[in-house]
Amino acid sequence: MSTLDGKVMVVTGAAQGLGLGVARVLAESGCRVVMVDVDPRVVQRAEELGAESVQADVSDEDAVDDLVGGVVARHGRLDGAVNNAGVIGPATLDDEAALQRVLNVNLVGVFLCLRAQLRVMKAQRAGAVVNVASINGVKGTTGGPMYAATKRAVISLTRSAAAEHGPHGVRINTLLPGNVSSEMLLRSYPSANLRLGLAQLTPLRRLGKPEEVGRAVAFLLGPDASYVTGQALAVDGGALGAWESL
Amino acid sequence: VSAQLLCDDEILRAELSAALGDVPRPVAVNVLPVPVSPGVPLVEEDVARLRALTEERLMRVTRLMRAQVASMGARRGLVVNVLGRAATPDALALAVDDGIVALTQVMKKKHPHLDFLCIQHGVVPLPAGTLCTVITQRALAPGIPWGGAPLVLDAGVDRF
Repeated sequence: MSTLDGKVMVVTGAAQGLGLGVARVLAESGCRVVMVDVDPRVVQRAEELGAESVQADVSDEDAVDDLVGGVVARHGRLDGAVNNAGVIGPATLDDEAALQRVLNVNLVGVFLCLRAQLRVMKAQRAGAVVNVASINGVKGTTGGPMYAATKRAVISLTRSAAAEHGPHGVRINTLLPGNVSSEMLLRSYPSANLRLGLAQLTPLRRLGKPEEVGRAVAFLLGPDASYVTGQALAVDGGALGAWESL
Repeated sequence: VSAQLLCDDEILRAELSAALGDVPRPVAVNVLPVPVSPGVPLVEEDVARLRALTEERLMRVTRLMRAQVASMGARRGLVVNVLGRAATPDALALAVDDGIVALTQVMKKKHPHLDFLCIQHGVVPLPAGTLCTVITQRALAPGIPWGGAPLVLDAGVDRF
């Protein structure tokens, strides 16, 4: 039996890519997973994994509060949450509407989810949250500046939340994925040659798999990480360390 | 020579204006005020305050830097963002300002011929003399590599 068996977990952005990989690992570990996404495909993906699904926009305050309230009403508690929903931003600062969308989903969305989850976990004096940021939030690349800004903000928010909620028995950590094979990456790097180049920039010389991120998330949510909070764990094939040594 | 000073603090603005008068390159200094923390736990924070902080700080600096970088063209200008930090814990303001540092870091990579700097200070009142000295010295020394870490002018801000 897995150490996560029977735990109630919420995963946002779970219809595809990293979120789907995380949901799959948690479901295979025996968790009762609630998969959340604004993308209607989440319904079918959840059925395939034997999970629940909720179609919701994480940047909508009422929708998020309803989502978390519904989970607690159905299951009586919330053991863990993975705030993964996010969007890639534009490469420049010219498109204000696109910048606002990045802010709304990547920062406001994480805040709304985290706040709702912490209200429950603080009251039950137990729980663990993983906020998914990015190695771009640590070492901004020439890619989307607002994407990097929101991901750094999530790392900061996580540290503050962990400091504040440690005394209540709640742990909050950040996961920093590197270049992981996902729909988001395929959209950003549609050319196979570009993706190969990206892999070659990584010390492990390959892209990551969503399930590899999922296993790291499962570690952070589980009892093996019982003394880990406020940290940012990179799952990036060594990319961040290589960048820092440049 | 041009200096764009966006600063509500009259003393700092006057000191910077005088000090940067002799600097032979364009300099833009964006001074954001110390945010007012409501002093409530994160679970009681209002999303409207986060939205206001992102608009008044992150988006404001975004628009300023976009215009400043364009106005500097090919010249070796300097853009400085001065971020005031509240003495009381303020998770939302800290997050937004850390986002500004990351944004500035990316701007440096996109515009390598320009110099950028972020200063975070938790000192009230604003240490005008210290800030003026730091910014002026930086302005007089173009090309000093900046790795993206903010220059922190305080004794450490506690998250508790």
